[in-house]
Amino acid sequence: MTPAPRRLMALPGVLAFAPAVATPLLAGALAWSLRRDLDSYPTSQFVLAVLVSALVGGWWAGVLATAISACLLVFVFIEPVGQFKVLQSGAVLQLLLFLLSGFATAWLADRLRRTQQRLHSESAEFRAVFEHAAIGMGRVGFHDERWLDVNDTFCRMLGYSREQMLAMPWTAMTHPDDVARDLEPFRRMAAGELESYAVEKRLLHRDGHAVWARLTLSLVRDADERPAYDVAMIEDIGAQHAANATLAARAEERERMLAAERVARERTERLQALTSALSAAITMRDVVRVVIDAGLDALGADAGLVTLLDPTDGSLRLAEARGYVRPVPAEWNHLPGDAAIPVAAAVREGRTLVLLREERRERFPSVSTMLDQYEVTLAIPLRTHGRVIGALAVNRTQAGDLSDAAVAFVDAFAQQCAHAIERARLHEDAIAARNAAEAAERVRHAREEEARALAGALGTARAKLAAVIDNLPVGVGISSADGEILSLNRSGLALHGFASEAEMFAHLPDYVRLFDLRFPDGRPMPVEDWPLSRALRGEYVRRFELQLHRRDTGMTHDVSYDVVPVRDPGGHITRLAFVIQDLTETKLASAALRERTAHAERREAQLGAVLDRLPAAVFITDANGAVERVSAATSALYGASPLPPPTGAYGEYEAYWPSDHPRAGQRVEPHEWALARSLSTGETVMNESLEIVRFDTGERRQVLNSSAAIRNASGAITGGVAVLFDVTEQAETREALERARAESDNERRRLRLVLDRLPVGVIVVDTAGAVIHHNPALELVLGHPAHPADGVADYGAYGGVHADGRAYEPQEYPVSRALLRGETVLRELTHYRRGDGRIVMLSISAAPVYDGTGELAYAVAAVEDVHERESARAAAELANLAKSQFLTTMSHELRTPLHAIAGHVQLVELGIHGPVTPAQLDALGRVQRAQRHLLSLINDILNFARLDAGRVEYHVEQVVVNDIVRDILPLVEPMFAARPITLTVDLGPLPVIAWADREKLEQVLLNLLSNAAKFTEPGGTAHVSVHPPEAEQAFIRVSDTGVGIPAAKLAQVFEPFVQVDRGLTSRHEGTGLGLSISRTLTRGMGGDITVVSELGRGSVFSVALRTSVPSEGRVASRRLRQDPAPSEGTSRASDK
Amino acid sequence: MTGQPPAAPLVLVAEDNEDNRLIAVTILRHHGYRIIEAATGSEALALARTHRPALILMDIGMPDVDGWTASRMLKDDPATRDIVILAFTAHAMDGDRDLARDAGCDGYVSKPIAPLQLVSEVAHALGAASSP
Repeated sequence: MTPAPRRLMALPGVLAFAPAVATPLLAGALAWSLRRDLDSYPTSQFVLAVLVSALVGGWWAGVLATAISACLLVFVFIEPVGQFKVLQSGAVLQLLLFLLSGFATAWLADRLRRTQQRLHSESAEFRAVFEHAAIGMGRVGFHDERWLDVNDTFCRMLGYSREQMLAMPWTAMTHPDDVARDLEPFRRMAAGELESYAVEKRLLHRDGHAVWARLTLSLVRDADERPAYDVAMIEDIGAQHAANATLAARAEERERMLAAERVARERTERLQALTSALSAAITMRDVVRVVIDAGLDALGADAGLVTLLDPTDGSLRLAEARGYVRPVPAEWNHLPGDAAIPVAAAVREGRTLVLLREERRERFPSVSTMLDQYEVTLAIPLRTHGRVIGALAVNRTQAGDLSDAAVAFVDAFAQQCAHAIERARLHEDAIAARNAAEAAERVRHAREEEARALAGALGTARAKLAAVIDNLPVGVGISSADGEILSLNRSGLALHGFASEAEMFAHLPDYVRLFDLRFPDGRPMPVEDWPLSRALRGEYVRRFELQLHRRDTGMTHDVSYDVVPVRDPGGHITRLAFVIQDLTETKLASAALRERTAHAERREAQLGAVLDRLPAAVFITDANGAVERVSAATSALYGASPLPPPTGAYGEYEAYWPSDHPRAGQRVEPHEWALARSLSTGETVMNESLEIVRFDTGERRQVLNSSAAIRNASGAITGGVAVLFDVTEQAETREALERARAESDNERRRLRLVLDRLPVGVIVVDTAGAVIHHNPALELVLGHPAHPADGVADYGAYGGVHADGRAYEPQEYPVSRALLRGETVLRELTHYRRGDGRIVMLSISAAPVYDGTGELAYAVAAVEDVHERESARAAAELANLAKSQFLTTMSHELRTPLHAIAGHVQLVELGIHGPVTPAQLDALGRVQRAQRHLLSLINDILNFARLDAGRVEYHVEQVVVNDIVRDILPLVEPMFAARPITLTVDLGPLPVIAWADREKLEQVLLNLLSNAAKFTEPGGTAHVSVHPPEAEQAFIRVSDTGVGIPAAKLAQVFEPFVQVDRGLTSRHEGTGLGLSISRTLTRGMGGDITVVSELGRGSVFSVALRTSVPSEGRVASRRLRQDPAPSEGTSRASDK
Repeated sequence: MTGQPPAAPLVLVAEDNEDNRLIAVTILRHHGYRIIEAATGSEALALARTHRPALILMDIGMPDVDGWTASRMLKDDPATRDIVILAFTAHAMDGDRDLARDAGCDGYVSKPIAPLQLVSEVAHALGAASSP
């Protein structure tokens, strides 16, 4: 709204009648001065006089002006007839017609004036709401990036004056990152598809800092239901936003730290627990049990198994299975290497397989029935030194953590298990080898004992010989000097496969045919080499080994012969005494011993390799504490290579007790070393904290020292092992975590302080629904205590209420929904009965909060009293709607009677109501012109009102500018010809294409050209030209040699109601709105109008049009829907 | 004024605004048409069914039954289908022309009424043969 009409309305009543008298008199004087020239009857001036009077003074001023004008007309129409002056009948009719049109004009002008007044008072109400709203408000149009209007609150929010705000594009006061935030809804709103939306974005304060604001935009439509402009409400939510952001960031950071700490701690603990458990387990069976128990626990699994690879054939043997609901199938006990089972695949591929149910079904259909109830299966190869020795498989009913870090932990876990299994295997192999060696040794010992016993028996008690011999475990026999066996004891008989001596004697003659003697390598032995044959030749046969083969039964024995010739005193051999010893068992035992020894050596080498790769310092000592081996990491830990040989009891190895030890800070005495204690008492020490001193730097390292005694099969201590883990970094990490936790606690206190100062009510509720925290603002907003007390009755039945007055069910509150359904509620508007009984509108936001494990921990809600704001918004929307409906009605109401005037005048003119005289025709013409003029005035005012309200729709498209200029020439050429003024046209050689709304451009050009015609004296020249584009703009220039515009007025020429020379207003008819409308229209198309002028020399108006694609959001080229739908904002407002 | 020949076409002017109706009636009657008048849509429907006029000037924005509806009802009824209907509209836009055609109107005359143009539109719509 511009101030001009307001001043007009403000004239005091009496003064209003001054023009009613003055203007007709002025018109009369003019007419008089024209000396009653019939062609210059001042009817139109009188009608204009009536119009002005009625507009200024109202109905009675109009009637007065009509009456005065009529009197003057009578005076003009009186003509001399003879000596009398009479009024011709034609003149009477004209007079009557004038009176008719005068009254009509006065009536119409009065209606126009009244509606203007109503319009003004409606606007004033709207302005009052707008200006005094406690929140920032503004109106923003769609075809210009500027605010159409802003209120003081908004100006204060950004620190600008209103003029500055209106002068700068809104993009300039929006944070660059947020400009695009609501372009899409804004564009949809401009297209009329969206009625309102809210957005939170940063605006820029004048001093440059960002202001978080919530903008709520509501579309206002014009009379034709086209989008006219937006009403924007801007709330400063900076503080709330900052607090929320800080709160969320801190909570998240804390959760992250706690979770990281927890995971790290758990993993460390699990690995340590595993290490402890594994170091306590010695046998393979124990190790495997520990692996499966600890594995299921540490990996969060429900079932699992360990299989070990048989290196000889690549098959897998089940070592242990736990937790399976179904019995483990028998074939799993011994699986071929190519079995279609996850563990076998993991061994084959040498990598950890993470199999979710679907993938597992697809790849391993055969295990479906067994594993289908498990969500995920992890098959992990057990690997030591790059060699796979088996696999661990675990199954989880819930997928759990499958991140890379978790899988890496699983792998690390499996590595440790693999090392333990390998160690157990080495241990068992060594035990087995030692047992075998000891058994073989015992056998040999026994044999030697027996042999000695036999020799003794032979030598000392000949009488007992037979009995003794018979019971010997070796075969003993006597043969004659010619080789015939005379006797053989029971063992000898057994070796030969005879049950008794009698049976032997029965076969004796055929001895050579029945038995076949061979060399140990299986070659047949000639009879002359037979031991008895050799003995008969006088040889002393000692431990002669051969194979005794009996032909008829196929029995074979490895035996050794000792043959002693028995000589008579003459030296002749009379008898042969022989001993046959069965070597079968001895041979087997010694072969096994050889093999075991080689195996043990191999294992020993592997143990050395293991030690060299262990990430811990390891000392292996004999029973006296002398170091036999150390691991490679030992040198690294102590910072010396080679390590100084410990003499005595590790006096050189300096170590101190840690701060949590009773002897904190004191040196560890030699006998206090864990290893020394293990060796002396056999105790196992687990993870004893020490601080050792490096040899090179003297730096102290924090270690965990474990030790155990090594015992042989009989339980005697044969040595000891000490393991030192460097935990310095872990300790530092733990300290850092503790510091972070303290920091986080501080942060929490600060946050709580912030919460308590927040102007928004905040409440935190745990899963049981108990209030665990609330801030003071909450109780202010709700009007009752956060914790329901015994005196609850004093606070009435407070709580949420539905629109129909029904109270909220407990599960309907946003915070309940956040707790029950994990729902996040954003600014839900809720009617709430406060503790004092008042019902207010609250904006409630609520969100669930999860702990580090993803469990719902509690819900937090923010509660804001938006009663005032919502009421203000509803009032503003209603005022806006009223204004827009008013404009629509006005445009119809004002035009209809004017059209009726035109119609009736034409009927009279056509002679339908009777013959018409030339003078009457002339008068009718004047009425018609006056009617058209009044119509154009009203159109101008309404057009301006619509433009001012931003209610004009643009159909911007690519147009050929030259064609448009050419097309309107016929419309303006008569105006120029009538003056006369020479109009020259230069359309240029090439078509110029630009973006414009054809109708609006025509309207602008018509206005500029008719101005040129109006303000140029007859005989002058005017020129219109089209210019090719430069810098993405095409130009149309209209120049004239007219009155020109003084430099001081150039700036105002486009302002509404401005004409250069107000004194010339009567000559240059018009409202002074033309240029203002033209510029608004041109800008609405994305162009602009500029003017260059020199007083008395003429003016050049340039219309610039865009040749590039106009930006979206400023141009709405869609045809809008016809059906008026109540705007969303309105219906919401009425719902409340 | 010449006397009305018995064959003069009967025109129904349906228009709620008295001024507009009077202008249309006056100029058409002056040009020899027989006229009946209606101020509302339902009145127009009743008169069209009883008098079977040759042509109806149908204002679009009438109270009770609007012009589009009235036109469609008449064009859907075989008994009144042959009546020529000119839509009388203040919205001189392309969309209204389409709406007029959709409703079965045979043409349209835009407001404000230029009396001579109205006469020529009516004569043109009725065709040379039936012109008085």
